[in-house]
Parts: sequence; structure tokens; C-alpha cells
Amino acid sequence: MSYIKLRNKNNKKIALVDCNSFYVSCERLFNPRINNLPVVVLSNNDGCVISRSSEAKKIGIRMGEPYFKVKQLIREYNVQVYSSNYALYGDISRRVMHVLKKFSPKIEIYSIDEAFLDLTLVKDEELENFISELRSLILKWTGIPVSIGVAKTKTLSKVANHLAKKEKIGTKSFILNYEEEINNFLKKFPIEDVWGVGRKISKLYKNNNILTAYDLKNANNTWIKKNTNVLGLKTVMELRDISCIDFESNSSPRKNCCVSRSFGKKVLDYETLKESIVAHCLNAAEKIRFDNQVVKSVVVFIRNSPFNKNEKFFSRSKKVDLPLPTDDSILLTKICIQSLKEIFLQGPRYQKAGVIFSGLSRKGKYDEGLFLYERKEKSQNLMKAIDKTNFRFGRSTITVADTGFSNSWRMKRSHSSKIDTSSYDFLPTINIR
Amino acid sequence: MKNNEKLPIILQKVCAGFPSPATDYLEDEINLNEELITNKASTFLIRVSGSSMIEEQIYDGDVLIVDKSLQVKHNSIAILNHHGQLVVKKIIKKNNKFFLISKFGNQNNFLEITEDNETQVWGIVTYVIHKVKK
Repeated sequence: MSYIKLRNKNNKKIALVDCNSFYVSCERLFNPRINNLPVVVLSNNDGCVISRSSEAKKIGIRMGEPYFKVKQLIREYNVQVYSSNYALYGDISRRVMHVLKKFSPKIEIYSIDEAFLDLTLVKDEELENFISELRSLILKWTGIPVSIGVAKTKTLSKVANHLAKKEKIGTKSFILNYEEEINNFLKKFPIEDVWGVGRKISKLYKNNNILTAYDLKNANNTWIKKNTNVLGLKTVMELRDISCIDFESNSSPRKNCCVSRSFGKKVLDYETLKESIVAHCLNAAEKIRFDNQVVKSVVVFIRNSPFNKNEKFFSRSKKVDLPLPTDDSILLTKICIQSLKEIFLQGPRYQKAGVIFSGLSRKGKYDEGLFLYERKEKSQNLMKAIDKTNFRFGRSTITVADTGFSNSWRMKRSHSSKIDTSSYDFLPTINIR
Repeated sequence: MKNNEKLPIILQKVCAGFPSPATDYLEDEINLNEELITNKASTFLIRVSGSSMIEEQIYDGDVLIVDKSLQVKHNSIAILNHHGQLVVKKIIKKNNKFFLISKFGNQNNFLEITEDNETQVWGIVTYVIHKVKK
């Protein structure tokens, strides 16, 4: 087949570095007492299990399971439970990525705990040593254990990483190299675990008897083209060792900014809902100002829980397009409150509210008209002053009065380790009595 | 030229008199992070609570700068994972073996650092930040 010829030209070495049970590993860093115990970390609001130690996996706690469903198991096996502490995880992630950047000039940070590395420059015979050294260095410097999978394409490096984790190999690293070997593994690799194959497409594949990664690799090009999208075909090519999903640079500016939270306890009244919407709006405005962006349209959304059997699902949103893009907190807050007024309905027990800024663009890209100028300059100086103060003295030192002072809607985080390695006031503490 | 394009601005003022010899050095502020932290990725700040390390000038409430990338040496002050507990101890080297010093009253006890007795070096203290109380 033609791709075999092409394959020889592909000398790329792409590594996927993935932190093992990342959030759990972060919690263990300053609390080694829990090193060999089953540990789980819960999502915002202590809703679902989002990170599990290998011990927790063994006793049958599944990913994404609601907390209340596993409470029994947790008590029975003395599982250590933590609320998510993103300030800590973010700082540790930054450190891991910092180390990776020293090892490769080309890196794509794929998520908080995963990154693709281009290791093409590493010689074949040195590769194994190289990744084993990389693993121990990351562990020593940051305290975080990682798994590394290497292959010639991103999609296959994901497969290699799965294998590194699953195949009970002591080294937690895996290099996919030889055609035959790759095929053997792909035959055992379920289609829904292939990177880029979503739930919808995996259903379609299964209905057409494509059950493993190997089946997909040998699928008919024309059929794939006809029945899926561009990414579908790219995935197939990548399984064939033809690299066609490039590294994405992490500097491309974002197009949207969404800030939303689930409520600690259900919210019924307009005032509380308004407080939270305003806080989210200010938060989002600060984020886009930090990136030097302005927003073109603003969406406010509210909903109750989709899982409550005693209540009809209620979800509403309102989008407002602005005549001129802005980053003005006060203007944006006014718009958000107006939108909320229009969509609010007394009755539903609200579980979530949020604000989405979309159509973000770089500030100063538009010609903004003469008459608005004076007002704008005033507001810009004000925004700068607010951000500076908040940066120095902590978020929400200065805020719009509508945020309220009680914040009864704030997140539930009853099991938080309350450590933040990037904040002087919340440093980890060692007792040396 | 489109009116949304930006013009470069030269920030230096043109002076008519004698130029201040200090202008060339204005940007050289002291950056404590740069001075005290050689490895950003592996350096953590950790606060201590308690007074057992006063002999090593570490006081209650002090903040330690701890570098995980460094190797333990004779006379290091180290953070150790000792039976699942993080502790701060002085380390000495004797006959090519490392020992932590733990105190019982006035007596120094030496405990060898091995995987067997569940003691591992977590990081090495490089600086102590001590706030002088008024």
C-alpha cells in the first residue's frame, strides 16, 4: 500500500507526556502520609471524582462518578478525599511544563497535565535513555510522576501513552516503533479510546464494524471521507504513521472566555443569582483585559440541574451583541444584569450560572469612532487602576458593588488542602515542634 | 496610512543639558527571585511552624526556600519525608552514609537515611526568610 512508502519518510519522534493521576499527585506532594492510600480528588462543588490514585482505581472507583455514589466505598476503604485546588494544580503544572521546555524546543501544552514534545532530534539509540532520564528528572524536580509514550504521530503517541500506563510496565514509558508491533497493539485498542474519536463518531464506526484502532487504520479512505469530517481522515492517516496533525502553538489568542460555576447550594432568588453573574462577569473582564482583548458579544446563562427528577429542566440564555467591542467592566456588568433580568424566572432551583464572552479580538483593532473617545479613556484608566489594585492586593479588593458581600453562592470545597504554592499567604506548612 | 495603525513612540526624552550618568543603569533593580532561586521549576517556598530548628537559625513562622533538584550534602538542611511526614532536619555525612540528626532533650540521635527506614530526601533548604519582629 502507498502509505508504507510514505512511512519511511516520517522520521518524527513525538512524545506525549502525561502526569499520572495528576491532581492526586499534587495533593501527595506536600502530604506524603497519603502516598500509599487510595486518594480521590473531586470536581468543583465536590460533585464528581475527577482524579484517582491507582489504589482508588483498584477498589473500583470510576472516573467521573458522582461523589454521593461512591461514599460507601470511600468509608469502607478509608479513601482520602480532596476538593479540587486549581491554584495548586496550576502552579505544579507550570513547573512540569517548564522542565519539558528545557528538553525540547517544540512543545504543545495540551492540557493541565499533558504535553506533546517533538523529540525528532534525539537519536534512535538514545531515545530510551532520554525519556527515562526525563521521567526521573521531572519526578525529582517537581515531585510529579509522569508516563511517556513515543511514536511517529500524535495520535499514535497517545496510544503509546495508554500502553505505558496500562500494560503494567515498570518504566511507565513506551516507544511504538515497528509496524508489526504497532498493529498488534492497535488490534487490542478499543476504537472509543483513540484520540480524536468522539462519542458520536465511535458509534458510527461501531455500527460499521470498526471496533478497534486497527480496524480504523485499515478502513477505506473514501468511506471515511464520506462519513466523517477532516479530522476523521487525519486520525486514520496518523494511525498509519503519517503525521498530519501539527503542533499547535500555545500563543494563539483565545476566541471565547467562559466563566461559570455550579452553586454550592441551589439558588432560588434573583439577588443571589445576580451577585454570582456579576462576579463572573468581572472575572471574565479581568481575564480579557489581561490578554489585551475586547469582547463583541456577551452571553448570560442560567439553569437548574438536568438530573433532578422532581423538577423540569430549565435552561435559558441571552446573547447581546455590542455596538462596539469593549473591555469595560462597568458597561459589561450593566449588560449582564439587564440580560439576567430578561431571562430570570422565579421557581427553578438554579444550579449553575455563567457568562460567556465571545468574538474576542485584540484591543485597538477597530476604529472606534470619535464621540466615544472621551468616555472610553476615562473608563480605561479606571479599569487599569482596578486591575492593578486587585493584582496587588488579591482578587476582588476593588469590585462593582453589585457583587454583594455575602457570596452565599460560592463553591463548596469542604475537603480542600488549602495549599497554594504560588501565594505567600497559603504556603504549605511543616510542623517542626 | 490607516488610522488604526500604531506609530512607534520613543520614550527617551531629548535633553539639552548634561546627561545624567545614571540613566544607563535605571533598569538594574534587584530581583530577589533571580538572586535567591536558581531553578524556578524545582523551588518551593515552605513555611515552618515550631521551634525545633532554632539552633540552625530557623524560627517559628519562617519561610524556607527549598530546591528539590539539589543533592544532599554534609551539613545540608533538608526537607525529608520521614514515615509519611514532612520534617526539617540537619543532615551529616559519615563513612559515605547520610544521617539525619534528631534531638531527644540535649542528646543528638543519628538516623541513617535509607529507603528501608522510610526516610527520603524531599528537597534542600537554600535560604531562610525570617521576618524581624519589632
